[in-house]
Amino acid sequence: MEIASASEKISVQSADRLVPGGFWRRFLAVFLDGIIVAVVTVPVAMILGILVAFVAPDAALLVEAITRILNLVVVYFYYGHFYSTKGATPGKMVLNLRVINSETGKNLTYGEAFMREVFGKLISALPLLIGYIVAAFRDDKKAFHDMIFKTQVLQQEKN
Amino acid sequence: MSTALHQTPENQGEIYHGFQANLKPAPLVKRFLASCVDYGILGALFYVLVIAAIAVGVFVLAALSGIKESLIGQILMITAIALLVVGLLSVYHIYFIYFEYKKGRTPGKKLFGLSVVTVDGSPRTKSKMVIRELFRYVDTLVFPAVICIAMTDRKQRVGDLMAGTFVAYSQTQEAGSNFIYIKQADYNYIFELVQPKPVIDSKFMDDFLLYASQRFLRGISEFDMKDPYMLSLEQQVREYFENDNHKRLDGRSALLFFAEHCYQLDLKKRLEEKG
Repeated sequence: MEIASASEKISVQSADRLVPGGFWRRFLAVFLDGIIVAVVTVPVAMILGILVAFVAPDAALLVEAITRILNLVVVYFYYGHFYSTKGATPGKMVLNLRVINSETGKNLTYGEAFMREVFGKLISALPLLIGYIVAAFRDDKKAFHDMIFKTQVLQQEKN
Repeated sequence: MSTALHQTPENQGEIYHGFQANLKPAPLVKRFLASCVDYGILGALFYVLVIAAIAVGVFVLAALSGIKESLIGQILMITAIALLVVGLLSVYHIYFIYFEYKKGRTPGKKLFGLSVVTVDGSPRTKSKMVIRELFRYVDTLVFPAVICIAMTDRKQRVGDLMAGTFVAYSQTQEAGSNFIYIKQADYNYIFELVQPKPVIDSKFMDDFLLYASQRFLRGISEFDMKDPYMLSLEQQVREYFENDNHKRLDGRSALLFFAEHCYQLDLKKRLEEKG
């Protein structure tokens, strides 16, 4: 049929073999990215905490709030920058992973990256991490945050 | 509620808005995952709301120092906490009622191709959805829901039984929320193909309607309906018509759409052979 030939044409055209990213590979990538983000935020939080402890010992809650907001800002720029320009964060690049918007096939924008990383991963984590575990058993390896914010993690396999 | 009593296996293949759909009851695993997504979304929402409330509370306490000890201050605090709890509970229920009444499915159900439909095929009403929602308190005790789902033909939970609804599963809808990874050029090519266009050749149309009725309605099919491309196509058709509440997809429009699509493909093929 004509329709069958159309779908064949598509699969032939893509030169680099891209398959959905595997579960443990992604697990490692998240781990690496976590370390990188922590390297930026933890020293700042420590210095801030020590300073505040000397100046105003009562303002512990304020330090906590500032640290959390700082963490969100770092996440926004880190994931936003790398997802929008390179399509992968350093942790994912090491493991040959890419993240794209599954509706347009393009890289994520800053906003999409932020929503996926902050709210999406919260949604996946809250029901006892089931949102993450589901990814291991699906053909397209989508976790809840991929389904909700329409993203896809791909793994590059060179022919 | 009387509808729940007339559950016969004969009326399983009903006609919904012109599309003959053999609605299958949803598998338990899919319902579980869908509810995980919904509770995840609600949990994330609550997380943000509660943190915002705490931030506001701390700010107010800092601004009005000394109010914490006075009687008025304590009354104010208790009312604030009560308001917060009521607010969160209403968000919880309105989320389910709004999405199930307006769209027929919550975001979580949408991802797994589930939708709430009535047993007798009548339109969803607000009161049915509210009854269904009230029995959520019974169903979140898990055992009533699981026993009820196991006992009924249509896999209804207690709330479904009371409201006369059930959760249907559609492979097409699930495939529609899934992903086909293709390049931008291919995406544009497909997007162009599935745009509906006015029909030109009426004789071709008549022939095709006969042919399509055999293929799509009577199930004499050479198409592989599990082909992801076909599934995504059907999803496109459904979405196109579902966007507008006034236009419901009836059988003829669906056939017209498919006819036009096949016609365009045929035309393209002929042009390629020529040139």
